Amino acid sequence: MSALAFADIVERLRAVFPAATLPAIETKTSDNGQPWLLVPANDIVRVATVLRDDPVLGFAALCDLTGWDLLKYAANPPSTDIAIVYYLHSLIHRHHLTLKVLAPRDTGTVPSVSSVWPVANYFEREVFDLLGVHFAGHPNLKRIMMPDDWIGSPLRKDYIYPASYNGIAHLRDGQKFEDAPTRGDAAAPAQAAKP
Amino acid sequence: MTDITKPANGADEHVFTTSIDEFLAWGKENSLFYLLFATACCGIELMQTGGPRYDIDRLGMIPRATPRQSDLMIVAGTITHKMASRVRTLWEQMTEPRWVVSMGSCANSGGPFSKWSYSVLNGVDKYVPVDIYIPGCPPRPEALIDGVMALRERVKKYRTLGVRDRDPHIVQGSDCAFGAHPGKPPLPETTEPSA
Repeated sequence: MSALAFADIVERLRAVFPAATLPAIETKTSDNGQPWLLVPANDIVRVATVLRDDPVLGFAALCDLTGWDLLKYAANPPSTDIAIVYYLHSLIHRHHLTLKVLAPRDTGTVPSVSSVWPVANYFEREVFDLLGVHFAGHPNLKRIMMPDDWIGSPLRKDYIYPASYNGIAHLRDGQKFEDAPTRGDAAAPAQAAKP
Repeated sequence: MTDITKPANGADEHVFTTSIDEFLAWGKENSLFYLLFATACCGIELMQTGGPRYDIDRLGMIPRATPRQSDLMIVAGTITHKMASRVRTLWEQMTEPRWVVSMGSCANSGGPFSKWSYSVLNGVDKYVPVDIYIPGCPPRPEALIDGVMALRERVKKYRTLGVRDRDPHIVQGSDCAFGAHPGKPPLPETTEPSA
C-alpha cells in the first residue's frame, strides 16, 4: 500500500488489461509539467472501472469532472474539440491521476461514468449544461445550473450572449457586450436551441 | 403621536390620543419582520447585522423563515436569471404592505457581474419594486442599519386607511410593478396628494 508515481500507474494499467483489449491510452504532459492520460472516448468506462476496482490503483474517488473548450486555446495542432477532464484520487494509496477524453465539438458524445462513480451524475450534468457535451447512458441528463429553457452552452468559446431572458433585457440601458455577438444582432450566427 | 388636551384632574396621565393610521404605521415601523433570504456574500453581513454585536432585533426586526409572516425582503446578494422568478414568487407571497431593500451592488445593478456575465440579473428592481438601495460590496452592517432607518422613515408615512404616500406601483396594484417591462404600459403618474 504505497503511493504510485504516474509512470507506475500507467504501467499497472497496461498490465491489468489483456493485450488484445488494451485501450489506446496515451501519456501526455501539460504545459506546466503535469502528466495526464488521454483515453479514447469509447474506452473510458472500461478504464474507469479498472482504475476503481484494481487493488493496486484503487481510485475510489472522482474528485472532479470538468470540461474544457479547446477552440481558442493555442494548442498544437489547433483543435476544436471539447476535452473532458477527470481528476481521480485514491484515498487508500494517496496517489492521484488525471484523465482526459476528447469529444468532437458538434457530435460530442462521451460514455457516462456515473455507473462507476455515482458522483459523476452531477458533474456530467454540469458539463452538459455549460459545454453541451452529451453523456451516453447518463440516468438524468438535463440542465443543472442554467434554466431549462436556456439557449446555448455558455462556457463554449463561441457562445452567443443572449440579449434578454424572460423578457428582461440582459444589459442595462446603454451597455453592450464588447467583442461578443449578442443574439438578436444581424451579425450573430444561428445557434442551436438545445446544447 | 399627536399631543392631547389634558383634562385637569390628572386621571389620564397614561393616555394618548392618535389616529388609527398613525398608530398602525407606528406599529409597522417598529416590527419590520424580515424574510430570511440571502443568496450570496451579502448574506454574511446580514447575519452579522442580526447577530449580537449589531443586534438589529433592537429595532423590532426579527427574521422570519416564511414570506407569509414577513414585511420586508432584504435582497442580500447576486440574483441570477434563474433565481429571479423565485424572488418574484417570494415577494408575491408576502403580505401587503411589503417592502424591499436591495442590499449590495449585485442586487442593485449586477455589480461585478453586470458586464460580462451571461446569467446574472442586472438589478433585482427589474423583477420586484425596490424601496431602498444600499451600496457596498458588501455593505457593512452600519450601512444596512442606515438603510433600514431610511426605510423606517418611509414606513412611518405609510397610511393603511387614509391616502397613502407610497410608490405608485404599490398603490395601484402589483400588476404595474413591471413598469419598464416590454409589453406593459408605462407607469401612470400618481395623482394622489401626499398625506
